[in-house]
Amino acid sequence: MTKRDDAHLLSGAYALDAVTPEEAELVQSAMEHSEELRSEVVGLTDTAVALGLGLPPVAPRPQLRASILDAIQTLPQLPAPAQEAEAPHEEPAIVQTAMPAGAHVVPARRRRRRRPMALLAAAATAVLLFGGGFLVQRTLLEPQSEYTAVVAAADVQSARATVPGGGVVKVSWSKSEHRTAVSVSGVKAPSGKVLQLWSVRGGTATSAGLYEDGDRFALITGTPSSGERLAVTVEPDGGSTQPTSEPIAAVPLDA
Amino acid sequence: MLSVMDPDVGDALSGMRDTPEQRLARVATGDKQAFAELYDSTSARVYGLVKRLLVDPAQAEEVTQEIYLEIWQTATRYQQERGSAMSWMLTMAHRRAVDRVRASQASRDRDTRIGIRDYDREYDQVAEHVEVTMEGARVKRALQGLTELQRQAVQLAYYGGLSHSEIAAELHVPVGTVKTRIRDGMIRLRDAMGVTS
Repeated sequence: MTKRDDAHLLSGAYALDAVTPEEAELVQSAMEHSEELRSEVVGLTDTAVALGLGLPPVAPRPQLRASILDAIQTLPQLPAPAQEAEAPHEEPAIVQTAMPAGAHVVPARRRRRRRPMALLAAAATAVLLFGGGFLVQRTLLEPQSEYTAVVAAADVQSARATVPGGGVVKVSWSKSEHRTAVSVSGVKAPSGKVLQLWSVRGGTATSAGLYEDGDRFALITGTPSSGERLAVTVEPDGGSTQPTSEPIAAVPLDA
Repeated sequence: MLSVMDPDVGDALSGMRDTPEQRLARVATGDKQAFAELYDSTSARVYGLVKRLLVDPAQAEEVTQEIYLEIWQTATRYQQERGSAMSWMLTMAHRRAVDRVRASQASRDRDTRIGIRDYDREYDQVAEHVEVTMEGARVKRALQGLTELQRQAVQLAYYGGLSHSEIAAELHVPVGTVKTRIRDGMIRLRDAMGVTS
């Protein structure tokens, strides 16, 4: 059976989010080359939405509305796509900005569905919600001085974890600087892969950006909340929306 | 560094009768009033779906909050010509809820048990529910047109958040069979519900 047959066979399960991340990639890739498959996936995704509309609506507690409306007050939005293209790419990357190769040619429906999360993982200038309520962003300020400001702050706290087989992940944060710095040393991602940082709280991982070869550190806006951990995984180039491998390190952040 | 979007000081009343698509377009400009209206008009749908998958109300609220913050952040990416706003939001909601289901083995085990035990009863409840929607009746009818295996597989995937391999284990059939039954079932549902893309 060819890969294309495999992908076609998966259209239904893909529309129901019942596939593995690898299979999802296979389907997305096949959709770029097959209008027939793309059209089928769009139709089945709409069918899945109809299943959702078939459920009785359940009103959430009023507190949730207040909490969400409060949260967006300080939560910037992604730039519109046209503006994004003009975003600067040259300066030293803090949280890296690489998009998945070929992302700009992925057609239509699934792209719309997948892209927001890919962008959340990797967008230039985007500010991302960290699981514990702290914000991640690519800073456009002078990076080294920001890093120094964190690690030299009077109230700096830090935590570290070793990577089995060698390597250290160090996390430092300062409430007065309102910044968290992450440095990964002694670890190199294999070709075509990248290190990705995650905020982990309970069972939920939220991307805190990519850490690509050559980065000396990543800066995150905000400081961790109690019980939060910072995990590092090896992901396909461009990053993932959720971890696809076991963490090589997880640093408890006892704020 | 955090830039707070300028609030849209336009006429708030102009949004009262907006469609979700129009509201989402206003949300994309940073309009918080439009976002509140969008929340009010869609949150029971989104929360209803997420709670169906996660069961636990606290987790369902957490995930619903994540979904609406993602809607706020990514509203600039929504393209009306590619589908309705509700479709965009529910697709995002399902993915997020499934991600949460898979994030914890314990919750997966729990949901699997609940899914197996309850889905038939759940459908009876849906049928008897006084507020059952037209869509609900249509979906129920369409699901009745599937074979037993197709119906179970589609329901466990969509309402239970199970992966195809988990469904295969639950139903004691090979994974390949689950994949084809899900695809056949979804195509049949699509045709029965008149979904056009």
